Amino acid sequence: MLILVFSVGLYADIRAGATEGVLRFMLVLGLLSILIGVPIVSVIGDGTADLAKHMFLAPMSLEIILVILVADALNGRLWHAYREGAEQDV
Amino acid sequence: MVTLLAWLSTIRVTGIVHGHRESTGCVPIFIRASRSRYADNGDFWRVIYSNGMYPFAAGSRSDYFAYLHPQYHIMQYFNEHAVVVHSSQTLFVKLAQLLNGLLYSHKIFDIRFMGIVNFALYLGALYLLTVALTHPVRGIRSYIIALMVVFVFDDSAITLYMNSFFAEPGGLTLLLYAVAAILLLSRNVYRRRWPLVVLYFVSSALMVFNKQQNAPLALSMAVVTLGLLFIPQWRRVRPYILGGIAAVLLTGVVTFALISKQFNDINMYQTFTYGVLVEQQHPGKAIAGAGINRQYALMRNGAYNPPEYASVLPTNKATTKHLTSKLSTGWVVAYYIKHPQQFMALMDVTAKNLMVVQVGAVGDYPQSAGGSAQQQAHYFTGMSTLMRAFYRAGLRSTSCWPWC
Repeated sequence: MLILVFSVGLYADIRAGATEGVLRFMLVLGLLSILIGVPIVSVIGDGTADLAKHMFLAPMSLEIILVILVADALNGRLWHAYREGAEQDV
Repeated sequence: MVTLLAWLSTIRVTGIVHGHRESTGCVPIFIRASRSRYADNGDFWRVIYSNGMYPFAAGSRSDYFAYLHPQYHIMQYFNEHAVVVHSSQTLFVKLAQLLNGLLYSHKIFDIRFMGIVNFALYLGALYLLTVALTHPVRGIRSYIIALMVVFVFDDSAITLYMNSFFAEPGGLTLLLYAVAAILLLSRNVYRRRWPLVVLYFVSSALMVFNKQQNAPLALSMAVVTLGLLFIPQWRRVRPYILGGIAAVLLTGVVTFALISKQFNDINMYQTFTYGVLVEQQHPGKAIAGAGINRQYALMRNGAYNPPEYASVLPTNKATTKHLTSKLSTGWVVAYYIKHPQQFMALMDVTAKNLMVVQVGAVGDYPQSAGGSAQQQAHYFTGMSTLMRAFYRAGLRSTSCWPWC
């Protein structure tokens, strides 16, 4: 679902020739791979020992994604690259 | 002077509110005093000994995880301890030791200097992130975004890490620098781009080198870096970006290769006792099928350094010969492929605990504060409590999946 939300910006920016949404999409993709990869690495590497500490970066990357999501939604740049004066329309 | 510095060092800088550079030009900083942080969970030794420090009353520290100990001796003569973990955390510790030597003492290290270093770097990362998220909008929304950054990233579950010898705050800080650099680049906030690219690659590489378990994250950072190849104006520098990706991946390989045999043994033993043997109804049968004596199933939930009586000593020769030497990452992966149901059950355990950020096993206060052993701090934990409650459902619940 998060991927879907950010791919809208990716698609719109590729059509418009902007890079903002592309870079952000790759960033979110990388952070999501941390979110999914860290628990697997923790279980294979050290079982369920010290889980809170070993998985620290997983909740952090999810929180980073959510902060970007909310901030960009507030500034009206979630669906397309930032446009001058766009905030007045919202 | 010393008292003033000690007082200054106890101040917790809890976040920044950034309006717009041009419109306000000011960065109000919320500060509050606090003495709490995470106590040692048994991991500090690998950092303090290799950096030339040792704890007070090293022989009788039975309560080290219940209460935190704010001060450490600095070794005055030859340090016989080899470096056990190669990590970029050493840079943070060395910086803190330098400050400590300049401002406080050459014989005693106060852990609050570690906090100053961690906090200062963390604040820089939060500043860049806030600039990236608010640029170029002015007005009330920027303040809402800044307050949200404070609410999320200033949660006590995170900031309690700062005043400790855990490597985690360094890893988070470096990840935030990398994220902020990418966002700033994509939004053309600064006219000169190369400092941001350098910042991005340096912080990614150091983040991967921060902990051994971060080695696979080099792949995640490579995915993020691929985005830079899509900038049309940057066709000419593409070889350098590819070189950067290769460097980050190489850092991951080096980090993985530098894991010492001792640590490998600890991790393999614990992944066996806390992973392979749990969530499994017939652990004896299962491990016998993978070539390990079924009697070792009795070691379920046993730590490598058992606090009390243990039926088998993990470090002795027989255990090494019949158990530890047979275990490897390949063995563990092969085992989980054979037992997918158990692996899913374990992943369910991790999913249920995914949003638990605060380390519950250690105390957050010194004994002089008068609290009970392992007392937990609860102030300013709104975000972590919220996320913990929201993600309690676990992997098998469908409510978790839409987010991934």
